[in-house]
Amino acid sequence: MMVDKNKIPEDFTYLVEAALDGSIDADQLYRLDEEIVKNPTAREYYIQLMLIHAGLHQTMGAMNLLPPDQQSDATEVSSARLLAEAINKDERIRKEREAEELHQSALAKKKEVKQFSEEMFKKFQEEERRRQKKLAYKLYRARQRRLVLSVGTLAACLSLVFGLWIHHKLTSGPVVATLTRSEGAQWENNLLVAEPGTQLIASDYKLNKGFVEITFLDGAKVILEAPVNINLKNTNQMFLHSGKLAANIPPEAYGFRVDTPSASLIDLGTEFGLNVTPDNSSEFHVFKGKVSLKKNKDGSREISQIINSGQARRITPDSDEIQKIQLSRYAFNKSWKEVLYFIRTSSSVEQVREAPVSLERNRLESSSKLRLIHEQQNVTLDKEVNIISAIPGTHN
Amino acid sequence: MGKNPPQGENHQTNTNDNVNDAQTKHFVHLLTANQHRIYAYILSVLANSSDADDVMQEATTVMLRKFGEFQPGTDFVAWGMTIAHYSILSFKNKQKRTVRLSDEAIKTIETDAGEVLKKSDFRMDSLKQCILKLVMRDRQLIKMRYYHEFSIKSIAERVGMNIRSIYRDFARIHEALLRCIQRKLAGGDI
Repeated sequence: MMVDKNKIPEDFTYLVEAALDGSIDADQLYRLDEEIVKNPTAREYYIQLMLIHAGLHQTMGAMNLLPPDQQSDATEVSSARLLAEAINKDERIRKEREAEELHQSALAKKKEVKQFSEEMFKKFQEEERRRQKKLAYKLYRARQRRLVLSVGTLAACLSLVFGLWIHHKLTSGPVVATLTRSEGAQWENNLLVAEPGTQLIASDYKLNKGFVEITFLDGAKVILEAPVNINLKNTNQMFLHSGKLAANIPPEAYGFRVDTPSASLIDLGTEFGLNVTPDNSSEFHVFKGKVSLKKNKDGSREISQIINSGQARRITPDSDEIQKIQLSRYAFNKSWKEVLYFIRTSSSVEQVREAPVSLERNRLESSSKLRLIHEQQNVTLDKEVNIISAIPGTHN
Repeated sequence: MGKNPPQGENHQTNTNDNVNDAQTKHFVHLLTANQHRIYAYILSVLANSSDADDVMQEATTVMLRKFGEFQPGTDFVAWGMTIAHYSILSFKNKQKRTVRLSDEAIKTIETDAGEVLKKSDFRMDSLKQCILKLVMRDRQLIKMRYYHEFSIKSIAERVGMNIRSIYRDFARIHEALLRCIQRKLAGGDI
């Protein structure tokens, strides 16, 4: 019954299957037909395949041609049952396998979800850690800023308080003098308004740079040359801790008093210069009029002298004597000159009156500058002077 | 194919029409043992499962009705094939299908079928044993086609393969079963 497959075309079985299923096309049917007609081997194989097909059809129970009560009479029941059991077993195995696959798939999915969740959780933790770190850094920066701000604020407050204190101190006391001239002045405390016209109360003042003129309410005019450290006591009295001053005392300010660490000076209507050196010695130069000097000595008798115009004295803290020294006529020239008004002129002028006497006369004369002495008013010039610029006021 | 004269539905015989229970049981026994051969004959001629089912249904009804005419001890398969032959002719007259084997091819098949099917010692129990030797997937394919009667297209969709692959699978399975049965009958195991 065995057929020689070599004599059968390779796709012959395929053509047979297509024919049985009803899907064979005309060309395929032609080829099948031709083989069946011309090839006896293929024809025999064809019939055998049909026998297999028929057998399967019958075996698998699809061909229920008989009434149900008659089908039980079929032979080979045991083998049919065996086949049915095998098929059922296949079905069970298939279902079990499907269930197992589903189970494995679910497990894999669960594992995947768990892994994903863990990864996400780790990522979240990492991000949270980073966020916390960033937040901590921000807080740190904010704290620093707040601290700086607080310190700054505190410093500002302290400065304000200090300023206010200074201001209070400067403004709370009685006004004793007015700042009437200022040349390149720089005070120890910047809060102090060092513009001319500023009213000064009884307080300590320290001039680090420049020259200023202070006019006491009683009329005394004092030129301070930096560095100088003073204390304004009242409208007619001051203390010179250190530095140099030149004073011009009008008659209405008679009795103007200057104290130094080693002595006291009382003006008796005059013009004088005073210098307190770093060793607290005091030098007095009287250019006009006279002054009364008194040496300070604790618990001992008072030493005092009247010093006249053209005389100079030094008093040191560790000596009981008042020393005579050479008058330095021009020692305070600079002080006078720097605080006087400067007017640029087109020609030379003549100095018509001396005052202050200590001022170096020849230095005042210039072909380009006119120095108008405050006291010298209503001066008649011998020729016309072109004034280019001037401070406010009347100039003849 | 040496068939008896036509014994269609016009042939009236009261004796044949009154088949008793014993005859019915006998008929069922013979049919069960040989229907695959008769069905194979119909399939060979029509080359179409659906058509073959219809004709087999008709032929079985006629055989049952005319079983009284069957002479016990004679060839049941040859008797059945004769009835099937006329059922095929009747069917072909009713169904005007254009896609059919040529008359020449059918003639050669009818000539050889009797010889091949008669000498075939094909046994159903051998087929069943050979089915059990198939791998599970092939058994599932057989079940889908022969038990559930799914079309090849439907099977292809269910297993997620193309139709051509399923055709090749069934060609392979049928060949394998044929070889298995032949080896079994030749005395060797599979």
